Amino acid sequence: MECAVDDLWSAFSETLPERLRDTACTLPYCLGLAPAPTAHWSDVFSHGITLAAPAMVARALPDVTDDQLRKSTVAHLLAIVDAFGNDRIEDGQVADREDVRAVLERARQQRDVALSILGDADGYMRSDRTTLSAIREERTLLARCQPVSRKGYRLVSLGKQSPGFPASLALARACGWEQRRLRNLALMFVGVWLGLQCYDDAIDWEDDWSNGGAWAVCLARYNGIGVTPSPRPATLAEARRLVLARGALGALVGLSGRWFRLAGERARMLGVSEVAEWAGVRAQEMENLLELELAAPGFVVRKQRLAAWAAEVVQ
Amino acid sequence: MDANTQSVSSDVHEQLRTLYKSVLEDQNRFDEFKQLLAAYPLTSDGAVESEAATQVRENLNARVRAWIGPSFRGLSSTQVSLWRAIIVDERINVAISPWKESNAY
Repeated sequence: MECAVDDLWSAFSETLPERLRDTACTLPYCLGLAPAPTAHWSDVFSHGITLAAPAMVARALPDVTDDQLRKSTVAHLLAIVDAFGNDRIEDGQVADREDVRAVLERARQQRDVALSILGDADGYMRSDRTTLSAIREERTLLARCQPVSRKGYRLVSLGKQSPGFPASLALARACGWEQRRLRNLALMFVGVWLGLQCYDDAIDWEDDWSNGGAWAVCLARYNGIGVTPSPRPATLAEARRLVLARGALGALVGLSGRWFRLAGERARMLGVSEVAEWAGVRAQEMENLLELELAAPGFVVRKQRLAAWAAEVVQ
Repeated sequence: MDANTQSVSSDVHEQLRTLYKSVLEDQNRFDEFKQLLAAYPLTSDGAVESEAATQVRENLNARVRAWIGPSFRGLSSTQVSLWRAIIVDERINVAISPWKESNAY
């Protein structure tokens, strides 16, 4: 499926006006997601499910047609690229370029067409509204370093994952799945996307803090309803002391593991075996990592920072 | 000669693994190691290590010996430069964030 994702992106690039094709072909690089302009989308993401979710669901849909599979994969790919692209531009992580914006606009248009052919004309319009609202709320909360409960974190984070649902759900619906199975499929993806997001928010918290705010700090400040929150840290060192003392990274890793367990359970129930296996492995990894984080707070970040060294000495 | 070389090689590798585990498992030690690396002056490829840089490296190695034992052979100038690039400058990171892909290039 990695190869297919790159082929689908090439096909999309070919539909663009000539002036935009080079930008489209080098978009991972333009968005700062790859170190070289020759990188493909399949090079960027560590987990195949990020771009190929519908293809994994399709293996549990014996009557799926090639065209349905292609449409859902195209819709999902374009939706995810658009979401990442706009997020990086809005965050100021990459320059706001007219050509990049134009490519993302075309991606949105073709994403909507593909989803409409699968029978869902409004899916991405709804998810765009939800995502935009969640991103704005996140930016406000993080900028204020607002104390946030785990429930509050989950609600905002889930909103940001909205682009990850419509294509796979439309595909399953088009293949005849009824509401009960569709609800379980949605829950499976809740587990997948939140599992990934929670882990990401743990390992990247220091960079996020430097860029304006981090969930780990907001979670660390929260002491319960009606309870005075911990003081807002002024420096990274103060933030780190708070985050480690309050076990915020363990909380995020623990959440990640539980979400992956949920994803695996739902995937098994639905016969989406590739996701079931992947989520099970991820859940176990998070559970192992949680033990290490609880024993030595900050472990998950240090492990990430030392990964290149580990590649040399841990064999 | 082969047995001695093998013994020295495995000791060096084992020492690096021990140092890695030492900074992995303790935030204070990681922070101090990072500070010590950050103090090491950058030198251009092929340039001879300056006296100031040698002093910084010797201070770093002395701290490492305090952590993992006096038999630690010490990091060379090349190794210090490499670990500085990895840990301080974060220029070499094989582990990309799985979802947000927040690494910047």
